Amino acid sequence: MRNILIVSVLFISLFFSNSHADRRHFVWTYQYMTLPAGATELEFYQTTKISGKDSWEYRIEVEQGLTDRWDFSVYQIFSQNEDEPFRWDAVKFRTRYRFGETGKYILDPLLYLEYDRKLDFSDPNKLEAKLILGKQIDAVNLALNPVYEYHFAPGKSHELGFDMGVSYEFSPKFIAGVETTSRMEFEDEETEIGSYVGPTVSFATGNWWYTIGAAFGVTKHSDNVRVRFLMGIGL
Amino acid sequence: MRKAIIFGLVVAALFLIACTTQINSRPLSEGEKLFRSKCASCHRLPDPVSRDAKQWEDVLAKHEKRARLTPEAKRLILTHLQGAEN
Repeated sequence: MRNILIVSVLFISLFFSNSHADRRHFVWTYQYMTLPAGATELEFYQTTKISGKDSWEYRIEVEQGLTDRWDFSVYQIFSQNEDEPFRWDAVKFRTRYRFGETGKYILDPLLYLEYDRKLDFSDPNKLEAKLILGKQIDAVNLALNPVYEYHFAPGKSHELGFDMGVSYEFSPKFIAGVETTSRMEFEDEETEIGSYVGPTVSFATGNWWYTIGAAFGVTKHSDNVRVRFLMGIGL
Repeated sequence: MRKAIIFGLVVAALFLIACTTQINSRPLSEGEKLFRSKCASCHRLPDPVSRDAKQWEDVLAKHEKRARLTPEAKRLILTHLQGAEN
C-alpha cells in the first residue's frame, strides 16, 4: 500500500505543472505565509522517528488558498510502526489566517488551527492551535510558533510547546536553516518534555520544492533522531 | 496548570505586541499589498529600486503564471514597482 501511495502522488504530480508553490523553509516550524487566493498545492510528508522502536509517518496534504490571507488544507495521514502493518491513521483539517501583509507589524502574526481525527476510535483526537510569528530581515527569516494541543475522546491530555527556526536565503532556489522544537505533555499528573534541534535545507525549482530536516533529541523523553522530508507541487 | 497559564499569558502578550505595533503606519497601495502577498510566498521581497521599469516587466512576465497573477494584479504590482523607481 505504501508503494501505491508514493506512485499515486508522483502520477498526479505529472499532470499538474503550472502554478505556485507555498514553499516551507523548515520542516517542523511554520514561517509567516499562506497560499495565495485560488492556488492549490499538493504536499507530501515523510517523517521517520528513530528510537527504541522506529516509526514512519506519511502525509498527503491538499492545500487551497481561499483568499490571499486565508487558506485551508485536508490531510490524509498514514503510519507504520516497527513490527506493525502499514495503516491509514488519521484525517486532518487545517486552516491558517494572516493578520497583515509581510513587514507590516514588528512581528508578523498568523493564526493556525487544526483538527486531527483518528480513524482508530480508541486513539484520541486532537485540536491544535498555533500562533505563528515571523520576521523577514533581508535574507534572514525568523519564525516562532507557540503551540497548544488538546487530546480528547477518549481520555484527555494537553501539550504545550514551541517550534522555532532561523533560515537564510542564499538564493530563491536554496535556503538553509536551523530549527528547534519542544513539547511538554501533561498527562495523569506527569509531565514529559521532548525537545529537538537540527538543520534544514530547502530547494525549489519551477513549481516543485523540497525541504528536508533532521532533529536530534536533546531530552530524556525525546526520540534519538527525527527526519522529515517535504515535497510540494503547485497544481 | 500554572505552567499552562503562564504559557497562555506569554502567547497572548506576544500576539498583542505583534498585532498592535505597526512598523509603518502609512497605508499600502493595492499594488504593494499584492506585491507583499504574492511574492513573499516563494522568496524574500526584492527591493523595488533594484531594477528598472523594463526589467520589472520582464520579471513579472516570467512570474505571472507561477504566482497566479491576473492581468489586473500584474498591472497593479508593476505600477507599484515602477513607481518606486521614480
